[in-house]
Amino acid sequence: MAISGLVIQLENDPELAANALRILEGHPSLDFGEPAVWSPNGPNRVSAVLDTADSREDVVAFDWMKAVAGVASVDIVFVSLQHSDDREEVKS
Amino acid sequence: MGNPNETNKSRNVSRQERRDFMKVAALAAASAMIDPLSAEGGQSDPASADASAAAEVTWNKAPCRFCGTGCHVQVGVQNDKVVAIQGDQKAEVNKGLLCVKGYHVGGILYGKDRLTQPLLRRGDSYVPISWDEALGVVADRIMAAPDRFGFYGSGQWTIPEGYAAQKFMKGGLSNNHIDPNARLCMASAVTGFIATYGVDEPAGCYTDLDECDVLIMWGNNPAEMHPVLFSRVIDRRSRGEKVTLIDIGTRRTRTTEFADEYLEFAPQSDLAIANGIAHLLIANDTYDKSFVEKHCNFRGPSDPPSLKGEAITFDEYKASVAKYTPEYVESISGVPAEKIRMLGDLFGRRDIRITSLWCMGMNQHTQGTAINCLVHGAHLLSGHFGRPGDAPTSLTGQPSACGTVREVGTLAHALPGGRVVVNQAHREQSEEFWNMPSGRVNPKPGHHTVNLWSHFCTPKSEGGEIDTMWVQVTNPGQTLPNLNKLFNPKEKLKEKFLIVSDVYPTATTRLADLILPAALWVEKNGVFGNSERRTQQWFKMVDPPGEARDDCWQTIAVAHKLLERGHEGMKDKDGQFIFRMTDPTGAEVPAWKWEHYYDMNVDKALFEEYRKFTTLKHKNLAPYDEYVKARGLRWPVVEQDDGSWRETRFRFAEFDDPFVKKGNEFEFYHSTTDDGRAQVWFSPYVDPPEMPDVEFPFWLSTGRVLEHWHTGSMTRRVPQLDRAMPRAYVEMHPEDAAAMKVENGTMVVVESRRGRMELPVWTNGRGRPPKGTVFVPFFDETRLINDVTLDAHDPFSKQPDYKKCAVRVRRANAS
Repeated sequence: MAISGLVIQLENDPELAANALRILEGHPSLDFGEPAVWSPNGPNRVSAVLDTADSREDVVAFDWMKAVAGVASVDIVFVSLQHSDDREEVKS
Repeated sequence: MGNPNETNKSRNVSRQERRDFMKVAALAAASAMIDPLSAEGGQSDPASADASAAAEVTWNKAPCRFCGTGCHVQVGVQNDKVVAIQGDQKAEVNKGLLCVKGYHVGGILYGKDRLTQPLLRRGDSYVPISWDEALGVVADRIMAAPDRFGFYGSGQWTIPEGYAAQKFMKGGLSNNHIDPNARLCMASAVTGFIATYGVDEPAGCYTDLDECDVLIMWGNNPAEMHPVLFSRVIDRRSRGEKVTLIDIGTRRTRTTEFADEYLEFAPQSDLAIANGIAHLLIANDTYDKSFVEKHCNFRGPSDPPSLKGEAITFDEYKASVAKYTPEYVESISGVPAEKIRMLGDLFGRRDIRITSLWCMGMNQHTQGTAINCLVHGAHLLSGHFGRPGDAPTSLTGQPSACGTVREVGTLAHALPGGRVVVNQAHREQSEEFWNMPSGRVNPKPGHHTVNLWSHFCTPKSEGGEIDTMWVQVTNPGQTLPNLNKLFNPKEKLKEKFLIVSDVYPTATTRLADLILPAALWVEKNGVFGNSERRTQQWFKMVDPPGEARDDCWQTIAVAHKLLERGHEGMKDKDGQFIFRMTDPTGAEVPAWKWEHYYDMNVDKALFEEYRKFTTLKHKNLAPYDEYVKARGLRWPVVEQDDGSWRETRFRFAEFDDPFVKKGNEFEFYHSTTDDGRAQVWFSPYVDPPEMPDVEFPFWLSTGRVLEHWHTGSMTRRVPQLDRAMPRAYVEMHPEDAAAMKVENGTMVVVESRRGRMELPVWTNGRGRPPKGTVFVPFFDETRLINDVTLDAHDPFSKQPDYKKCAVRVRRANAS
């Protein structure tokens, strides 16, 4: 989908969540909202935007995010339909 | 005319600037979901995320195109293209959230194979023709035999589209052979509501999901089919609220994963379970005596069968349910007796609130009316009714099954506003509203869906009464049951003529003689009515491709073509065209000409005309302009002293329903017994018409999947959704698979007495049927499981049973 707004839910464990954030921040296609810092007293959800070329990259990125220890769930809350290289693709 | 408030703000910006803007907008939307107050007014406004780039995209509201939940989306449009979608945080239904289909709803407009011009069959191929020629072909077919013409519509018709079709058929052609695909998905809910309360549609609303202590899902999988609604309940749990979820099903699903209790029952035995609850309420003396004495009557089956049934006393009712002891119910259903007792105990408690939820599992059922009535009965008998959180609530699968089918009445027996053709007073009322001559509306009900298609697929010489069928906004070549009887025979019947208005090639256009390209979703104005009686409006935002045009325009244009050819039915009492449109000055607008269709808001004109019907049965709608301002309003919507319009969340309850007389607490003001009371029904358990046997040892159940909407004609053209769920499969229990020496991916043949289908096996997948049951989704056009299903239907609702028939399964390469 190329550009997606995400809400990433982190686990309640502070150490696990902070570690997860550090790992996620290393992904080249992910940008985080401010503040992308998890704190024990704050909400354990962070906003992010995923910018990829097409849905193949999306799937890979989603699978990777969900596999990161400390990530409870990843919800899509916004999709740009235009900015995807596979937008014109048609089913066989 | 699109949204008059919209302006063309397009400007040239580089691709990278647009991309950056969309990233900012995406992040703004995500941030607002976490902290809604961070966005002004609680609504994320992507356009404000970057003022300079915002000028290129306009945003507007629309209900989602897919299911009956009625989520609102914000649609981002740039250069006449839908470029982005986000959940609408101002919408009470979804509060900014969408499901995976909803986030991709804009993509359905842009499959490469959109139909863009009228196509007429010539032998095995199609030739493009002009719209004028196409309208002439349709008019010729109708003029040749007006009473042998059928119109097959949809719960995806907008309200104005359905109303125009209804008026065209019943008021123009005096022909009642109009029925919708909604006959296949919620007709049993309709008959259940009418038999119980005397009027259709749920008394409660989605607020019940926020307020209940116990949610019972009867053959229902909302985690996949209505995920946004289900998330409302799951979110309550994440906030620390206690909500008990009980999944009563015939196979484990994603919903089961969240359930506190899973009660797996033998297909059809939900009837026994509901009777078992009633028995326990009486045996344990925990039924709500006060509610029953004040507000309920008891009914049993009549001879001949009717929706009014026969009056029975409480003692007769008690005696009828007495045999449904927990042990007896266990013997029929397979559900342990202690679980039946658990249900009885829950319904017997006054300190909790219980909501029942159902959809296709109870409706697609040869005893669909009966099981609907029994679940309503459990709530009435126990008094779990009419308080927020205490409700029996059916969901719909289509975005306007309620609005267009149940309220406009696009059914073979119905008229708008809850009226019926067999009633002379109702016919006269419609004729008056339509300014038609007396006697114009035919008193004989038309053919319901199964019969309509059966007549179309039967040669005239053998009694087939329908020669020409026009299909709009639906795909019966994939969704009708027993396709080898109800659709496929058309291929060899050259005397029959099939007209299909659609947006893409489908299993239905495959056999079409004339294909009419249609506009889709925000390519046209529209009004939908969702599952909770909420009427929702949107404006056209982009142009349809090529020569694709609104279904409503197509109906009006055909009507005018008939008028030109002298069909008297296309004139009203004063000799005027039945779809005569005027502008605010009273000048006629030739809306039958496409170039003038959007000179005025035809939707608004039709809606205001239709609105007169809605007061006849307390389904009052507000003026069109009120819906422009709102994210939908739940009917009855009643004008207040200050000129504002107030919606109703809970019908029949004095605290919220304006039509309940003060002091009555509850009043069922359309009671079938004319005494303000609801009916508690007894209906016995009966075996389904086809059950597994030695030759066909498996139950087959069919249904939907999260990623695709119904036949997949839209969602399979969205690459993200297509990749996520590319092909249909057959779910099997691992032990059944092992016994057949097949495993995941092995191709097997699923075969019934009616047809066969080859599918790959999936064990331990998303859905997990018990031993002896297989499940196949119906979204895949390349694997039409309805070649296999049964066309047996409920005697009242005429809704077919897609949830159970007998099949055998064998390896594909085995003899």
